[in-house]
Amino acid sequence: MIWIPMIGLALGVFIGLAFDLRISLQYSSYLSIAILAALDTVFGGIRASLEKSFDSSVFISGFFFNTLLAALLAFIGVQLGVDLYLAAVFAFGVRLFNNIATIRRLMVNRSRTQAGK
Amino acid sequence: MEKKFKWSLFLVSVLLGCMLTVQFSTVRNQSKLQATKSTDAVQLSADLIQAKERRLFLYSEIANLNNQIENYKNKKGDTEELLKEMADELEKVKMQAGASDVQGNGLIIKITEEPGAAEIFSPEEQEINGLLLGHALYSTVNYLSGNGAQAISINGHRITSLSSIRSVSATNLQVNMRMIYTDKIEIRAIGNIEQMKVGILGNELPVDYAGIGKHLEMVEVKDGSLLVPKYDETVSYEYAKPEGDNGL
Repeated sequence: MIWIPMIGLALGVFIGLAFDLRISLQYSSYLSIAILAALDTVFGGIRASLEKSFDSSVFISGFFFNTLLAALLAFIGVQLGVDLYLAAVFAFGVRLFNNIATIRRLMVNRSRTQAGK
Repeated sequence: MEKKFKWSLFLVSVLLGCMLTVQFSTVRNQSKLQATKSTDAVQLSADLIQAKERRLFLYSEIANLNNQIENYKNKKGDTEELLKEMADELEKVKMQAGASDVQGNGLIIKITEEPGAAEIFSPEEQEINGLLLGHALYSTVNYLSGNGAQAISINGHRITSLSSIRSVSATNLQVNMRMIYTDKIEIRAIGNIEQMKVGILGNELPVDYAGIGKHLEMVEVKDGSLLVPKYDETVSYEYAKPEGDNGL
């Protein structure tokens, strides 16, 4: 299953490089937060799949909603002069590590179960 | 559900890949721009400092020239005095350039053969010593200049910015492209005697000369009679030209 995001990532990188997409420097900080949110969603999706509780609508909506919300939060922070993006970095960072830890545990348990059989 | 999951994960990964590439490209471009900007800034600040120094130099030159013009204007009624003033100015410039004889207090440095050097050094060593003599003379002139010598000559050859000292071979030492007699070398230097002596002795030049079989002796001339001859070679400037309006 791990090859699906790998191929998707490779294809995305290829498209990005092929079209030489770039954004204005002032928006790069928003995009970095959005990437963090997207990573969180992807790992959340993998976790949900391993826990057999995956919902495609939740996953897709979560991806776009979280990404946009994170970028919006960073934008509002800039307008207010408060480093609100730190809140997004903290929240998504913690969730990302939690998701990765859960995925690891689930995979270890699964491999143990398979070895037991 | 499995199929839906695969497709949505794939699409999201594609989007994530795109976003990552865009971000990497943007950040990499930004760091390149910043590096260029900082280089430009360093270059610009260096140029600015140079331009400021040049401005100060030009201001002082303008002040000097204005003074000269004022002097000439004040003396325009008296042609003789004006000519005298110009001749004095010319003489001053010639003296600074080494194009005229100068006289004053200073040191005479005599470099002679160390007694018994012929027995101490083998023929091969003597040949090496002959080659090293040019370097020793060069160092001596350097230390004298660095310690306040205002005019220097070696065996009657005036040292200027165009001078050269080189050992062509063990028996052919040239100063200002002229071969000099190496058994008895006389360096004349006009300047602060004590300071020049410190420069010679402090850098242990007598020891250096002893190492190549030479003896260094200093004679002080305090009655202002020490004569340093002018630079007597023909100067022809083929490549260097006077600075124009565009040059520094």
